[in-house]
Order: sequence, then C-alpha cells, then structure tokens
Amino acid sequence: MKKITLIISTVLIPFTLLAQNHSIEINSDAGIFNSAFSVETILNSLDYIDDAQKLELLNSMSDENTIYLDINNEIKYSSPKGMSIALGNHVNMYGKFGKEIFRLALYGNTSMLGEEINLLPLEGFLYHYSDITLGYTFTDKISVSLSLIAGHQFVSGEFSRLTISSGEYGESFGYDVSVEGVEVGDWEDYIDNSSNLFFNDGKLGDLFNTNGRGVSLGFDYKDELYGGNYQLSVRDLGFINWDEESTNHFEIINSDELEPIQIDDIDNIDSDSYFSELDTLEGLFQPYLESHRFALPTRISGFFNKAVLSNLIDAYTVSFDHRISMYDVPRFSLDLHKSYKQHEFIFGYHLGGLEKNGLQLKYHFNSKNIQFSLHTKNANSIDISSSNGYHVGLGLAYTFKK
Amino acid sequence: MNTFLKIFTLYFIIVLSSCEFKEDYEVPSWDVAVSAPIASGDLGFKELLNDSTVSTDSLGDKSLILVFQQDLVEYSFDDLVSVNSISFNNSAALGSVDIPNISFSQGISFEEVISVNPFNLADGAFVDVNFPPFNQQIPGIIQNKTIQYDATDDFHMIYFDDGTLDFELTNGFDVDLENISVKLRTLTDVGAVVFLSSFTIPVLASNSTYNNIIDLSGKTMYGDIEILISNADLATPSSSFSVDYSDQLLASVEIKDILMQQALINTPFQVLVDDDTTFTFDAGDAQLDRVLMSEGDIVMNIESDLNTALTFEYRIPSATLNGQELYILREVPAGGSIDEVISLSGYEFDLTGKDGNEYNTIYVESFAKIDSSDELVTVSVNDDISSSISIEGIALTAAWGFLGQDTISESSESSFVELGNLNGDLDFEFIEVKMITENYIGASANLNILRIESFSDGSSIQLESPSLASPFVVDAATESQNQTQPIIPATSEIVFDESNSNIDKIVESRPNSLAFDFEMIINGNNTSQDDGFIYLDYGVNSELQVEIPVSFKATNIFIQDTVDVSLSVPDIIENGSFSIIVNNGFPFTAEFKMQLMNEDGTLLTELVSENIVQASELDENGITIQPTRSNLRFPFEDLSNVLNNTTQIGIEATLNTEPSDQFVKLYSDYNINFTIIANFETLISEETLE
Repeated sequence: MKKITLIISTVLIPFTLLAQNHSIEINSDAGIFNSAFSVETILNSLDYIDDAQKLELLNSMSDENTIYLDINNEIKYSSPKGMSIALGNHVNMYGKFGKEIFRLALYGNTSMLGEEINLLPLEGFLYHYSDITLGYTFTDKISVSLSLIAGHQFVSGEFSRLTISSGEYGESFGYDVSVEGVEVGDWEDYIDNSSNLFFNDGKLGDLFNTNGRGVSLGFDYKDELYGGNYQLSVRDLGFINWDEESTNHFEIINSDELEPIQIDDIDNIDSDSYFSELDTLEGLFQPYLESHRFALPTRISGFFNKAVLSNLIDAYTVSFDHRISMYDVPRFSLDLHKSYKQHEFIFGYHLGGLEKNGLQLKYHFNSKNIQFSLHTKNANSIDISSSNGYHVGLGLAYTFKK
Repeated sequence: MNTFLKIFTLYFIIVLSSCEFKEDYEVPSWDVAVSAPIASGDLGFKELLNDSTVSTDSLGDKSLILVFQQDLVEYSFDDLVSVNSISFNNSAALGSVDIPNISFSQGISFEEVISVNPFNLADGAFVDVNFPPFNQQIPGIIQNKTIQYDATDDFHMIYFDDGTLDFELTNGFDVDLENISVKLRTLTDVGAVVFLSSFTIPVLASNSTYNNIIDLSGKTMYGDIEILISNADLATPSSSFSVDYSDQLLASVEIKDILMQQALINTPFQVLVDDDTTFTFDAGDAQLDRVLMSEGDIVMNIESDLNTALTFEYRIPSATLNGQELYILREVPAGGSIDEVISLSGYEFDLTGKDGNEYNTIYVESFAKIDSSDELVTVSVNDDISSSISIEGIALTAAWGFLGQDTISESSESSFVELGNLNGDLDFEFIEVKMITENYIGASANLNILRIESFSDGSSIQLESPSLASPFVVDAATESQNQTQPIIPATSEIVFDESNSNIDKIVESRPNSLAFDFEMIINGNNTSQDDGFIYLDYGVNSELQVEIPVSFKATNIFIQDTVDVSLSVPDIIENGSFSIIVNNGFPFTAEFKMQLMNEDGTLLTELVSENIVQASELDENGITIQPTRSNLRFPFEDLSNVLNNTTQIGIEATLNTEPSDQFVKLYSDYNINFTIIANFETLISEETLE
C-alpha cells in the first residue's frame, strides 16, 4: 500500500517530492488544442479548400471557439532539506474566435451582402518567458515557491466591438470596431526572419531578449483525507511588467460607412481620393510606447488519490485544474492507476478546460536512482477524426541516493 | 505483464503509429467572393449632356429647358484701336556761363611816399616849394608798388571771348604825378605771370583821374590780379602844401561784360533746357480723349559732355498713375549718359493736350540744369548735352473718345456637338434659337449676318429667315462703377423659331458643325462722332442659344462617354462581374454596355449588361413618382490580363423614352444615381499572404 501511494504521488507531482536526497530532473511538455476542428479536418484543409471542405469547417465550429498552446521546459535541482531551484522556459498562447469571422474569411463578403455581421468574439494572447524558481518545503504539508521571471515576447489583443455591414448589392461597406492590443518584441521581424530567431551573429537569438521582468508565487498544501491523499496548489500567482521601451500599445475605436468615391466629373475620376479613405483607416493605427503589467493566468489545481483493493487497478485519482481568465470551466479528470514492478500505467478521462473531452495516458518508470515518465493529455490522437490536438510530456529525474 | 499492461502498451503503439506525417501537405488555399464598391455618382441632364446648360422653368412646373450655347463672334480690343509710337530729341549747348562783373580798388597812401627817407615828413608838416627838394621834380617817388586782388571767389581762370577791363587811377595827392608806369597782370595758380596790359601815364594832375579801357577778347585771366606801378615821378609843386598822410593814389579795376570761351570756375547755376513739346498720336480715325496703358515704355537716352553733373527732368502732366503725374528726374554725371526704360503700364493719359481741346495729344515738359556749388569746374562755351526720348510699345487697357469707324468681316466654323452625340430618332416638340449679342464696347455696331449654315454627315442646311435681310443694330455699352465688372453690356437678341425660319430643321439634323459669316461695322451710324469707350478683353460676343423645352420622344438614342482608368488587377482574380446599381428617376429605359479599351483606344472586350435599367414610375401626368432600382450585371471570365491593359472604359447607354408613343417631359429633380461594384472571385493562397 505504501508503495502504491508513493508511486502515485511522484506521478502527480512530477519528481518534485522525490525522497529526501539530492535530485536533478528535467520536465518538458508541449500541447496544442483547439475546440473547433479535429485533426482530420485540419489535415484535410492543408490543400485547396473546396465548398464541401468549407462547409465541414464551418459545421465543426461553435459560436465560440478556442485555440490553446502550452509549452513548458524546466530543469530543477532539489536538496534533501526541502529547497529547490529550477530554470524554466514557457510559451503560452490562448485565442478565442467566433464562427462568423471564419465564414467571412472562407467565403468573402459577397455571400453576406445586406447583412450586419458581428465578428466577436475575437481575442487572444501569447507570451514567452523564462524563470528561475526557488522552492522551499516548510513542513510536510506546506511548500512555497518564488519565481523570478524574464519576459521575452508578448502579444495580446481583444476586440470589444467588431461588426461589418454592407448594402444589399455591396454598394456600401460599414464597420464598427473597438480593439485594444499590446505587442512586445519585433513580431514583424520574427515572422520575416524566422531563421535568425535563435542564433544571430553567434549570439543567442532575439527570442530570448529580456523585454520584461516579473515574479510569481506558488503554494502547495497537502494532507490526508478519507484514507487518501489530497493536494491543493496555486501556481503562477504573479505578473510580468513589460518594459516601456519595447511595449507597443494600440487602441482603435472607430466606426464608419465607406462609400465609394463620388464621381463629380465623369471625365475626371481622381483615383487618389478613392484610396484616401483606406489611408484614413491605416492612420487610426497609432501605436505608442507604454509599459504593461500582464497578470499571469493563475493556475489553481488539486487532486485526491486513494488506493483501492482491486485486481484491475491499484488506485484512482480525481483532479481538477483551472487557469483564471483562460478556462470557462475547470478541467476535471479521473485517472486509474496500475503498477507492475517498476512500471506504473495511468489511464484517465478528462473534461472541461480548453480541450475536448477525452482520454489521457501516462507511463512512469521508477528505479533506485532514475525516474522517467511519458504522458499525453490527449490520448484520442489515435483517432484523428475525434482528436482536436496533440500533447506529449516527458520527465527524467536522477536521485542521488546513498 | 498483466492484461492492463498489455492493453496499455498496445494502445501506445497504435497512437504512435497513427501519427501520419504526410509530406505533400500544402498551405491551404481557397476561393473567396468579394464585392467592393468602386465608384458612385449622380447623373442629371447636365451630366448626360455636359456641354450644355440646363435651365429650369422656375415660374412654371420646374420642367427643364435645354439651352445649348454656341459662340459665334468674339472680338476684343486689339482689333479696334492701335496707337503708334512717338519720339523726340533735345540738345543744348552750355553757352556762356553767367560770370558776374568783378571790381575792386586799392590805393597807395601819401604817407608811404613822404614819411620815408629822404623826406621823413610828419603828417601835417608844411612843405615850402621854395626849398629843395620840393623846388623841382622828384623822380621815382613811387617805384614797384604792387596792388593785388584775389578774384578766385569769382573765377580761377577765364579765357575771354569778350569782355573789358576798366582801369582808373586817381591822384589824391596835393601834388601832380608824372611818368606813371602801370602794368596789369595776373598770376596763375603756380605763380607764373601773365601780362594783360602795360602803359605809361605822362602826367596825372592832383585830384584828377586817368581812365583806360582794356579789351579782354582772346585773353586769359587768372584769379590773382596785380596792378604794378613800376614808376611815378613827383612833379614840381606849383605851390606850398601841408602833408596829409591820408591822401591816396587810388587804382580801380572793373572787369565786365564777360563772355567766356572757357573758364575754371565754381560750378554755376545754369539752365540748359526748358522746353514744352506737344505730340499727337496716330490712332487712325479714332479721336481719343483718354487712354489707359496696359503696356508701353518710355525709352530714354541722355548724354552729356559737361565736366559737371546736371539734372534732367521730364514731366508729362497729363499722364497719371494713382493720381500722381508722370515725373522723371535723373542726374547725369559729368561726361556721362543715361539709358533707361520706364514702364508706363497702368498710366492713364489725358489726350486733350495742354489746353484740353485736342485729341490724341500729349505734351511733355523738359528741363535740364546745372546746380551751383563750390566745386571747381572747367566749363567751355561749346560743352553740350543731348537727349532722346520715345514712347514705344503702346498697348491700351482702355480708351475713351470717338473710336472711329471700322468694318470687320469674319468667317468661322465651330463644332456643334451636343446633339450630334445622340444617335437615334429624336423629335422635339418645340425649338427656339436665339442669337444673343453682347456688346461691351461703348460704341454701337451694325451686324450683318451673311450666312449661318449647319453641317451633319455630309449634308448641310443654310438658315433662311427674313430677319437676315437687314443689319442688326447693336447698341453701345455703358460704364459701371464696379471695378470687377466695369462695363454693362448692351444685349440684343434675335429669335429664330419655326414661325420665322427653318431653324427646327437645322437643330433636329443634329449638326456637328456650324458655319457663320458676318460683317460688323463699328460706329456705323455714329456720324456725329460721339464719344465712346473700349476696354481690353471686352469686345463683342455673339452666341447662339438653342432653347428646347425638354419634351421629346426618343427611340434607341444612345449616348457614349469614356472614362480614363488605371486598373491594377492581381493575376489571381478569376471570374467576376461588374455591377452597376442604378436608381433611375428618368422616364426612359436604358441599356448599358461597358467597353474596355487599351491606351490606343482598341476595343479589348465589350461587357454587356444582362438586364436593363427600368424607367421610373410615372403618375397620370407623366411625372416621376418613384425612381426604379436596377442591378445591372456585366459578367466576365478570365479578364485579369484584359483589365490590367484597360486604360479606358467606354460606357454606352441606349435610351428609350417610356411610354414610347408620346412626348415625355423632364424635370429638374430627375437624376440617375449609380454605384459601380466589382464582384470577383479570388484565390487566397500562400502567394496572397506574401
């Protein structure tokens, strides 16, 4: 029984509470999910999109759709006295978009003539940072961590109004837009010169320039309940202050009815006047430099696991995970554990969060000094028609046992 | 390995094997259909027939009257009055400078003679003639006595053409003098002696005067004048006398009647020219009282041989600019010249002469002088000055007076395009053509119309009307006080309609050109030579005004227009169409064609609308109550290259009045509102994103 409990704990908190010895560990995971399209639908779209495919794309969407990218890499040292230090690098992207803007992009405006179309929701952000995390375990129940953050890139935008309208035959075109955005880093250069991102003149590339600074805190509380173990955690409770000199803000609030140029003299049409209205639109984009404090999407999570006496499984775990300002509902999961010698296999089902409901898997190997894990949050990948993303995570730890 | 593990392992293998990494995936591409408005406009009748004017029957029912204007005559100022150039010369010699008479007198006192050795007599001493030496002649009592006078304030040198020197010597002594030798001389600035005259006076009795007049002609005299008495003997006294120191031998000189050939003198005041000159312009048979110059110059040349500066003045009192008379003052340097051109633009000239009773006449006052000064200058009687002055390049802004009588004959042929562009059958209910003549000249004119003839498609029609048999009198214009519109033209109007001419045939033939021959006689009836006026750019204008109440039947009339465009169309544009959304307030239907042409005007393709513009909805009175909305589509396929080469779009509309069997009337609030929309499908691909 003790053996099972120990294994479950190490799986749920990857290598963080290894035995009271020196240890070093590496954890990486990367996942991308969207709520609208299956992998199969996306793969089918990597070619000419015909009318049937357009219809399939639209039908698979709901009124609100999300896309989510999460990449984390970390190397960590833990001491026997409960102190730890970790270096990490993180990329997180979140976007929410509506169905109508996709319809406009796929079909053009001809099919929407005479309508007023609300293109909301349309918002998202992406940030990239590195951190140094110092951890300390006060008691068997309470541990805290402090992360010092170097922000690298950030971009966010949120439309609070975005509607377009047109005349019955396309004789006029109107819009109503209100958008606010922040950009840190030279994104235009990143896109145009992506090959220079990592190494540029022998130095580490622009992707790791420090454009902001921040801190975050983490708290863990664990205890026993009903014969099982539970833990409540708060992570990423902090912010990044993006530097003024590298942070572009822009706000566009405008509405207009674009009429075609008025021909006063049919013999003398001035084409310049036609494009002047487009210039006016472009002129509304007036970025300005101002520092920006970005509150990290705080993660609140917890789990409860308990060993069971069964031939099929050794234990089960119920867990939740919530990220403020990203998840509409928390992610819940139920995992079943089965061990065989040094191997542990965990099979689970999840719902909520930003992923479609589905299976998740994890494998864990534990020897005297080495621990290894491989897991995915989206085990549905076996069926690309129902899978809406990919995820894979790896962990490797070495414990200096006497 | 238990069953759970087996299942789990199998599942992982399946997951990994399901990861299909297709190599031929491409960046997605898809077609989108875009509709974009590219232009809009309003067309009223003014735009449909854009070279015409349309007036509204504001007193009636706001129905429209088409007014086509056709210029026939446009004569301006230069055809009527031209003014020749004038010039005159002036020359003057310096002549004799007025040098005033010079006189002075100085004496030798008796004291200078008697108080010295060997006499040593005191003032008041009694001289007894019985005692030597006074009992006999005493020779050389005066020797080499010089009397000097500085006349350089008056002159430094004179070479006399004429003049006299009056010399007087008065003996104020109580004793006679004998054998008086006198020399008159002058000294140059460097001290050289120049003798003027020398003579001897045998006897000069006590209290008597000797007088000698010396002719200075041909002599040169300098400013330092000396009278040298080289000898005088004291005659034997006839009686005893008392010595009086104040007695004098007094010499007086007066130089007068000076006429010089040359002189070195302080610059004198001297008037060289003082003339009034009268000139008459040749203006043909025009008799002008006043003109306003738009162009013209005074070309002036002055040359001087004088060794001193002089001032030259011209004054034309009758020429004014902003109330100031024309006055020219120039200083000519010594031995120098002046060449100058002075603009007369804007000057107004009174041409009535000095006494105000002439015409075409000005007078000029000329004046030249030397001003006096302390400057030494050599003047010669032959020094002279010369000047020439001319008024050239005269062009007039306006002229007043009798303008003369002039006859102008002219033939013109001008395009007459408005109706020529309307092909099809056209029948107007009523036509009236007015010939409007506006006379901006302050003189009447007789206008003889010799021929009005229209041409269309190789045929011609000549206007026939009894009104053309006799000349039309065009009255004189009047002046206003408005500077921006200084003339109130006199307007005359001749009306041609179906009742007095064949003008309806000319108009309905839709002529593309019109010939006009005429003869115009200015002041033809002005036998009393009454004054008038004329302004530059204001002449006589005549035009035809074709007035047609817009009530007509039209069948298959088509109008054309061409718009210059610059289209840049991406290659990825596929099929598409142009749409023209038309709100038609006119009671006629219209079929539209779009002709895409290159820069050479070569037709690249013709797009034909799938439907037509419907006529407006009319009430029982034939008045539009509701415009109709039509969507004209001009589909095209694979037109990217054609559109890229298109530099002109021709729009051709074929009009038919509705209902077709009756006249329809047009109103001022009728118009066609249209919006041109481009509809096309385009491929969104990696290229697009780049």
